[in-house]
Amino acid sequence: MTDAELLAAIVDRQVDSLRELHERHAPWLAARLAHRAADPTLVEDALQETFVAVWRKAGDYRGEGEVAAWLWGIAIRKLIDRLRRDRVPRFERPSVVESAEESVLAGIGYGELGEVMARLSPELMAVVQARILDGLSTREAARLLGIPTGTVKTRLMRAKQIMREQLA
Amino acid sequence: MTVMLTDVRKHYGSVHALDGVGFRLDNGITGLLGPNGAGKTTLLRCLATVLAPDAGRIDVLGFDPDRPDERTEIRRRIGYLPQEPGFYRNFTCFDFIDYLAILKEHVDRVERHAEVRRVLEITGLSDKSTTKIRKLSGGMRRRLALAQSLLGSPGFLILDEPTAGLDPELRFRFRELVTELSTDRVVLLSTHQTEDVAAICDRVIVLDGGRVSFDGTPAGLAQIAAGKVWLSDDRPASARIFWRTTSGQFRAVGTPPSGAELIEPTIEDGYVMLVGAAALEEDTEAA
Amino acid sequence: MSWHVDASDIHRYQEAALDRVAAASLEAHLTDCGECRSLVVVDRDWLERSWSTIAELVEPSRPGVVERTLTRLGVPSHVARIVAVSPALRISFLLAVVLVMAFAAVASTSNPTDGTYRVFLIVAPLLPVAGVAFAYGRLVDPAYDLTLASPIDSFRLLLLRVVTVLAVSIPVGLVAWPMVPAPSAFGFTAWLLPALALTLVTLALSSRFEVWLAGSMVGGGWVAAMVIAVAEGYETFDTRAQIGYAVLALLAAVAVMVRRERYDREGTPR
Repeated sequence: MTDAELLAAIVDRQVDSLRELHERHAPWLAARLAHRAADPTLVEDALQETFVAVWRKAGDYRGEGEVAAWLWGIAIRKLIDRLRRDRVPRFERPSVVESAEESVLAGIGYGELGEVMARLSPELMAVVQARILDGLSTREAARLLGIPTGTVKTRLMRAKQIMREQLA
Repeated sequence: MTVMLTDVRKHYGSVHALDGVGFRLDNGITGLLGPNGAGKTTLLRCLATVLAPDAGRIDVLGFDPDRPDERTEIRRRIGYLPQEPGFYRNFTCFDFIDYLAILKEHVDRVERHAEVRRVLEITGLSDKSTTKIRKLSGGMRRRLALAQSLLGSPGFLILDEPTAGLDPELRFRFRELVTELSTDRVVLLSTHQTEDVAAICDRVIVLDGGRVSFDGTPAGLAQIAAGKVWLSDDRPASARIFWRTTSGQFRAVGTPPSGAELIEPTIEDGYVMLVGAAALEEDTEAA
Repeated sequence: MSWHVDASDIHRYQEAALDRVAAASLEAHLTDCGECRSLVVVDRDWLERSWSTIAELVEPSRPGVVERTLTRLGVPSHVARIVAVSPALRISFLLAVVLVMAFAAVASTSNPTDGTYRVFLIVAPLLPVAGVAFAYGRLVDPAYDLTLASPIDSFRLLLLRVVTVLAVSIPVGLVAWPMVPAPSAFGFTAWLLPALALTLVTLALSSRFEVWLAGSMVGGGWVAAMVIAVAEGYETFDTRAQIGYAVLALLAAVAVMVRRERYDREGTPR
């Protein structure tokens, strides 16, 4: 069954379909959430709340875009709710990191866009990721990153400016 | 893991349900064959610690059911599927297994529910969790009864006529399931279907009139009828039992006339030789 | 999808060894590609546990009214479940208790001549006896064999059920009793001690006989004894009789305790 078919079955109260969806998506959702919050318990809680929410609101999925993207939208927002409540440290990237150039050379990356983004500082990159790649609102991004909404706006403007300059 | 019986006796009035039964079970599947009234259920109930024998010694996984503490230890380690399992008909499958899990001392709710889900899944009943038992077919109820016997992954499984009333496909699936479960545990399977024994049992014990009349391999049981099974075109006079085959000939078990066309015996033939025609009459009733 | 990610890239991502851009790119790709999603390494045990928790939240088994009430009163959930399953709590039994009590009370009040309150006194103690007969045993508990074969202490289970029976039938009697016109010498305890005694005697006898038979013997014996006593003019509920009932109750209790092993297994121990 496709993901969309699983969701339809979930609307019909088929628990097995929810289980199958969990089987397919919990691993990558957990990994992606773990890149935004350091506490594994938080990630697990957010993940579980995500699937409980899917059980309740599977009917909300209107067939636009990938189910995976819809799931991520729910998951990241559940994580943000938890972060706001629990006030825990954000994800700290460990020191062993490839440079952006190496990744690009390895074939990963958006190509030109990737190069451009690589030139952004970590703070600006984080805002771009939250607002553009994760699709969060200004307020949600602010909660996720633990910075004021004003800062989110200014950083995003800065980032876009830099990227436009680079691409021009 | 072993289960041992020594000279076990049980009588009801003048009827000797068990008349000096002794054998030893190790890991793997042992079939218990016998006609009705042979004492199979009585024996299984003694092993399940539900019934106290009148005499003899029983040792289940190193424990003695006559001592109350050890009896409880046995009960923690066995799974029992009675011949006529009773159900609370208004319960859902999940609630029924959950209740039995409570009786098996699974006190922690989360752990218990995970275990309930596990056994429901093994027996293919996950999608019936919320269905009420009274709405289930006979075959599904049997599977439910089997599921409860698997709670806690017991070391000794006691199954009393588990395939009775099941249609052939379910019986086949059941055999597969039991075979999977039989590694690292002792399984005692009471049946009067010789096909069950032929298909999955490493050993077979034949109980007749409260006594063990055979204890060995299924092949050994078949060999009892060696040289005693033949094909005949006419109704065989000297046969204990016979029936018509699809080719129109008669297949007979008993004392063959000289020059008869002998054929290889099956387990059923050996069983009939031991126990008599009564055994087969029941099979045809049950079929 | 024209390009996919390597399993090794995914592993590095999971170990947080990819830089931000590569990670973001990989994440974006995973959103669109189910094939690559399946390359994410997952610990099966973790996945099972995660699902167990979710399943519990999504489809919890809903306990019934009785169980919920008991749990709220502080009874441990597994004990509450066992009590809730008690046949005694089946509505039919409850209904029978209420009806019989009401009938007895009405019978007592309808005829104001002296002595008819005795009807109530004779009937009331029989209700817990009937309750015990319905509390356990092969006839009533379909899962009787399975219950015996389980490690839980069958004797304690039995006592729990008997207590449940008493807890249900006695309050009903206490409520009905004030409607019965009785001489002031008889307080509400007039039928309590006989009730307790008869219940315990039934319990003791059920270690030897089938419980329905034990109940019938006790019920029949009681009614017969009462009828004879009334006919002969003996006093059956005065202080002396009450002491007798108390002694009987005590003896029966001792008998039950002494023979407790018999409730745990069928057949006589050697």
